[in-house]
Amino acid sequence: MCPDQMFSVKDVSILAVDDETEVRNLYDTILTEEGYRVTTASCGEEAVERIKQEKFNLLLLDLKMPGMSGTDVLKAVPDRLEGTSVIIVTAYPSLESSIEAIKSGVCDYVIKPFSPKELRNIVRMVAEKAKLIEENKKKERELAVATAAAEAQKLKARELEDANEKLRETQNMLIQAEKMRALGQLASGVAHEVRNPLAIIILGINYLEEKLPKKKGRNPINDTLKIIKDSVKRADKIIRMLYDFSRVTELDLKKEDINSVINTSLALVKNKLKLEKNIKVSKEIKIGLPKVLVDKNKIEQVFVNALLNAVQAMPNGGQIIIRSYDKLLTEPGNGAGNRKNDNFKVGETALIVEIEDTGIGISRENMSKIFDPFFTTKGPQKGIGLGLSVSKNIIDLHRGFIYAESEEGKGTKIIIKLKIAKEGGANG
Amino acid sequence: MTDKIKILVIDDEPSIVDALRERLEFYGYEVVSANDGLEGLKKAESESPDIIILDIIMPKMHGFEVCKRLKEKPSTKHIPVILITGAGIEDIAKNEPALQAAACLAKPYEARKLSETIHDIVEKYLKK
Repeated sequence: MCPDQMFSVKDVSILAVDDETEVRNLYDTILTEEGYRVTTASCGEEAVERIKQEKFNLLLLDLKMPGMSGTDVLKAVPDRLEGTSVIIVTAYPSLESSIEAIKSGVCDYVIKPFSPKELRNIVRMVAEKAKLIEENKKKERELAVATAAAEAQKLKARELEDANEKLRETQNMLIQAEKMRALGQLASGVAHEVRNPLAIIILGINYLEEKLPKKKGRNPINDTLKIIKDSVKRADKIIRMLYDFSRVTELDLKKEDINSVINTSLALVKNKLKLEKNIKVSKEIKIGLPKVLVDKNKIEQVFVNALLNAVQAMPNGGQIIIRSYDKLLTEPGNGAGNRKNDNFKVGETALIVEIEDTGIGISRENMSKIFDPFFTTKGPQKGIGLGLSVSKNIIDLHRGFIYAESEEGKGTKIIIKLKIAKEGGANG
Repeated sequence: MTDKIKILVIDDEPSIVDALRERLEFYGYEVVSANDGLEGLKKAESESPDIIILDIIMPKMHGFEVCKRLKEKPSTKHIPVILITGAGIEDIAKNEPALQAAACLAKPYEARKLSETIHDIVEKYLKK
């Protein structure tokens, strides 16, 4: 870029200070001719007064003057000289005075006597330099503004991304809830349709119980009636479970201490555990864990279900360990990652509850089926295979993750990952 | 007229009505029946039953609506109603305050259980 285009000399104001009249006249003539706005001062004191009154772009300053010297002027009003380029004019430059002058922010030197050409050049050079510095500062300011804007935009983009993420999560939850609602309608339809005939069967059995000849103790008639009645109860139980299963569509979320949920769950199975004399239960609980946003009753249901499964997996006794801790998820997998169904991100801290037993374990081929509805290995008397699928549904609704690790003959561990409640906010 | 307690069974399923009639008569009650809610409302007035056994899920008129209307009418509002449901008992519990039902039973129930329920209601509402 051509320097002429960069600044106009009319914009440059110069204060020329010298005690010699001839020198002042020279400044005035030459620099005014060049187009600068020139003011002169005949001594340091006058210079200071002028500087106080007006902000100059450039200061031509004689060092040796009676009264206030040039350096005295620089020291007198340093604030007013900020942004002003200073050219020292001296007949006898000493090292000392040079250093002192440079310390005070002097830009350049002119040594007396100087030719008009020298003066023109040096003033032009310093003025251009000053202009460049000013331009530069302006650009820096613009850059800073632009950078701030870019940062703001980035932040906005991230906010949008977060909002999008949240939307997607909500959508997943809605889809899940919708599925359950559809299943719920089916279940209540089935419940009604099947329970009517079941009611008729039971009333019919009650009738037969009255009418058939009564014999005490075991006999084919009593046995048959009992088998029919038990079968009706079993069918009814399946309907009830299916119905309950489909009813888990809404959560009553509150911030909870997971350890207290664990304690309540253990209390709920206390009696059952008392009967199992060979089963030992121990807790490995981390104190002071962050709270989780959960439906306490539903999570209790998950824990109780896992505890009862553990008991059933240890017909000959064994040990149940229930653990709680928080963990930074460093690797993808088991619900962490960027896939659509991943509720956790790598780098997120999750709250983890483990329920471990030393029971019979789960075979490799069954492992992939344990969360399927109606999958059971226990036989019809002990369960209909909805427990874990209900648990999975509950944990899915919490946007958590449940999975199992198991080795046949050694035991099973159910691992439940829950989201840590965000700081602040009421109950989310 | 006898001193027998008269029970109105409102249920759209004839087999249930038959089975209930047999059992209830066996226990010594007089039984009248209706196959839907509208007929039930009429009979509740014309027959003046002592107790009404009301199925909830019925075509034409839902049991809750039947119950509500029974409780609105001065001539029937005093009659204790036993609600019978094939769905979860929780649904009834949720609606119960408004329905003012005397009792709720979930299908399938044993005749003995129904008989006990009726007995309790007689003790509570009908013995003066």
